[in-house]
Amino acid sequence: MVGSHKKLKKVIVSVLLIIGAIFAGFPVLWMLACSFKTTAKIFSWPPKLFDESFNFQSYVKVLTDPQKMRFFLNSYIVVGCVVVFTLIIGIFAAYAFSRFKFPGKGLLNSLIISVQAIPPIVLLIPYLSMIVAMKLFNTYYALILTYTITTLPYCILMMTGYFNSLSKELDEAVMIDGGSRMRALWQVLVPISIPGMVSVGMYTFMNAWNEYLFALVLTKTTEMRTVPIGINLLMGQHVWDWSQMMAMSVVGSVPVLVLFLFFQKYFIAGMSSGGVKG
Amino acid sequence: MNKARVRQKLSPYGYLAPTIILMVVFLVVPICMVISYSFLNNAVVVKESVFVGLDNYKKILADSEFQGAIKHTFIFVIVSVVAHICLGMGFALMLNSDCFRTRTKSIFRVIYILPWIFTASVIALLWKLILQPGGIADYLLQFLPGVNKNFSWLSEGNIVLGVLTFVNIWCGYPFYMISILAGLQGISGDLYESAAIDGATGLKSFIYITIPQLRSVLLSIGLLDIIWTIQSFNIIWMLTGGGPLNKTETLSVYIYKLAFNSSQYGLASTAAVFALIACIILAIFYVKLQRKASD
Amino acid sequence: MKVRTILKNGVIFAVVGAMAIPMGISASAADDVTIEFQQWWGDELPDGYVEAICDNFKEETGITVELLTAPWADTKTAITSGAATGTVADIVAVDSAWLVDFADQGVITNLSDLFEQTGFKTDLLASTWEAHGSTYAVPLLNFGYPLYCNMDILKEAGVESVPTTWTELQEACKKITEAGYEAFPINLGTQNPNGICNVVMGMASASGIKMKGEDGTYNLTENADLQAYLEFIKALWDDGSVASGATALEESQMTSNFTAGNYAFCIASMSMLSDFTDAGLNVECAKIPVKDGYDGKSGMCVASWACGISENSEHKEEAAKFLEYLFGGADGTDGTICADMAVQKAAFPSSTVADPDFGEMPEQFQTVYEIYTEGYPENQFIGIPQTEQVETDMTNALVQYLEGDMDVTGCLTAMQEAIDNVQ
Repeated sequence: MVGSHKKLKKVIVSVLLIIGAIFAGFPVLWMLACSFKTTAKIFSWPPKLFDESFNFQSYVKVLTDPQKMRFFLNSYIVVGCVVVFTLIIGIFAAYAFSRFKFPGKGLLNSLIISVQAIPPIVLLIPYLSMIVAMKLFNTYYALILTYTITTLPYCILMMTGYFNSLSKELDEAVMIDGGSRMRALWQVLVPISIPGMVSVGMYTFMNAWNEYLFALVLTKTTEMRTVPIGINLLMGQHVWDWSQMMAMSVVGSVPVLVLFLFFQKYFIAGMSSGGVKG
Repeated sequence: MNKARVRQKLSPYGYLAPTIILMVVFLVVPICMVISYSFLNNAVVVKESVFVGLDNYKKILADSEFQGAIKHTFIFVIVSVVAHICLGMGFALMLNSDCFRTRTKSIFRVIYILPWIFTASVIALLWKLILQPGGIADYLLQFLPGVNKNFSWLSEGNIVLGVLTFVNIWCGYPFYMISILAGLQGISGDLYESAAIDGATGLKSFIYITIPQLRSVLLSIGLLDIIWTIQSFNIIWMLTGGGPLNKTETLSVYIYKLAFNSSQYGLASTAAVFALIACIILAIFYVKLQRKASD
Repeated sequence: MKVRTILKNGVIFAVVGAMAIPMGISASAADDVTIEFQQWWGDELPDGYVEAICDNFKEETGITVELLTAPWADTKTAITSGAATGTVADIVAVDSAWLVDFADQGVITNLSDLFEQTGFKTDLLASTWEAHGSTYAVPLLNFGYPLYCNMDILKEAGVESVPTTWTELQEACKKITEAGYEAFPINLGTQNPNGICNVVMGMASASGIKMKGEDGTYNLTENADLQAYLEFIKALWDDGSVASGATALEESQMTSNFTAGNYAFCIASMSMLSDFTDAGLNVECAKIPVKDGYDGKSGMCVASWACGISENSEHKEEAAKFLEYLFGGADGTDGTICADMAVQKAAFPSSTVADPDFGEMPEQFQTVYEIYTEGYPENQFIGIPQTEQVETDMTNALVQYLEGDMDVTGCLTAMQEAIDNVQ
């Protein structure tokens, strides 16, 4: 009885998994297909996944263009720094929110969340004036700073949530043994929160990687541009190089995918089972 | 003795110091400038802008386009967020279940995360290609009534907002999935075991164990998603430009047009202030809820 | 605790910062003047083309011109925010839609005054763009918008010759749609709302129908010619001759669709010719069909590559020199730069001394050149403030009329309102 119940469950879940995979994956498959076609073929009817014009032209154009490679380099440098800074600063802040009661806590918390509410468009010019005044214009620093600030609220919010779900007794266990709060944080809480940190890190990476508007305005020269701008540069006045755009997007995402594959194991790994009760 | 106590009282601020410095200097100051623009006439573009008090606010509130934008934003946000939670939860549960081998789960996990890893503007354009007349959507869905080679998903006024919401749901659910998955990993297996001993499995354990444990996470990502979806610009702009006939004009598109098509930074800032106020209210609400949860 | 935290963060920041690749552009030698040129042209010309022009300019005058590129759709954003914060380039390429706003906001400087000051040879300029009576930008190249015809589709549908009047166009489109093809696209998408300017008003220009009255004011509700024209478009729409998805169609989709052989006709930029022929299309260029019985001169819609000089620029004289160089070469009589660019882009030069050798150009281009010289260039939206907003509003009015939510008078009223709102 129990066996067939489990089997039925497995069948249902399998079907759902596959439907979900089509839902999630088909547009991406289409993107891949378009990157292998010529622009004209992308618009022909009936649309086919892979047709006679299958070629690697777009990829060749993207990978052999030193300007585009520079865009990738810039993006990786900026985003790498952003992830590190956001995580560190965010963890400190989240620890404060989670473990302390202090005046202004609620206010600060609300403030940090609500600053995300301003549409970037309106913020653009005042923010840019400040960056220019600080002589950070057209530098990596400007981009790193900007993305750290924009992803910090999310990081703090999520890490506070994760820390909240970890019992305070864990900290106290360390402190009773004579350890400092810092020790409790970095040697106990953080390792347990790794799945949370990975998801926050991934989000920060995506966000900074994909950001377009501020990258456009905070950088001026081609050497400083990032990948989203590179992709938009393929959108000319009258005609867009659809195929190359798709190819560039695919190329840009391969390392992200690789990173995800690498960090996947942290989603499988352990939990704090028995950490408190034991 | 006193020194130690002072140090203890100040320590949370110490942890928060870098955050406060960054936020206050780089965000709060420009935001205050934006709020000040909302009280000026023709801010930024004219050298001497005039203080006009609440004029801009009155203008915006009376603008039917603004009211339409609010309505569209409301529908877009609510439907997207609810669907995100359901899809994200569904996929996370499936990926966390013990029905399959790790290898299978890994493969599907990668597939499910795909919408998230591509640049937003390319995703928008990809969907534009898929949804155009003569595109792959028309081809595959020809069996539906009214859908043929020339059906334009983005031109039909009645469904276009729904179509955009669908695209937004597609783009955004991986974020939920990953966050919930991480949260699920943090739930001790012992809880489920002891519940099973008491005879509660399946749906009951979901309602009484999983959801309460995830409560903090769900609240957080729900709130964030609301705020972000209100901001969502790229998808709508690239797919329909707010059209046809402003039927998909949300708050973010409305503000963009004011700022860059009409160069009315004062009015744009005013509309932005409305968005800010709405989010502050949500944020205060959230903080109160979280405080209850952690007590 | 507090101090340690701050120190720790500070150290990390500093270390990573020091390792990061140095920022910004390397400063040029003390004596050299460097001016910046914000444009999107470089990507639309062969690699290194614009750089070569700048290098030659440097050889002649010692002034370095640095090229800044931004995606076309966001160049306006980049320039506006640059101007507001003092980081804008010295020379900016401007699109006609941005002209009045830039002039009003003080982004670009009054060229009439500047040219007088620097002794710019204004007789090099075939035309200028004016706002409030003064020149603010000078067009270098004009791109015509002829009617492209996919002759294969026409043949299959039994249309023997390219239509030359409205009636012929309507008939031809009917035959084409009966044969199962899409006939006549109009890009009424509002992300880049230039369809109303290039296609709709472009076709109006061909029959001498103008939005602006003789006295320089806009009085659309009393413009009987315009009304008749809008009714013609409605007739095409009701026939099903306008390609589907028009209300979400953008120019780039329209041209890509035509390249793929999906449309019979297309009003598009002359610069698209090579894309179309490279894709193997059997395409011909023709004069846009005129109103039955119209025998006057035909206007042709043009988009242009034009330049202005920033108000914030500290090197306005050098910038003016570079402009003069583009129009008249080193000595002010040599129009080869402009002429060569015109040949490259299948455009018409706007320098009086440019004499491009169009002999090698394909015959479709020759046809359009003839039409252009027999007629006159006209962009009906130049000089209207907040052009994109007006275009969007007018597009919405037109769409409501076409979809039957409004009658033609309502449409004209709405369009008039759109223009009145910004005057």
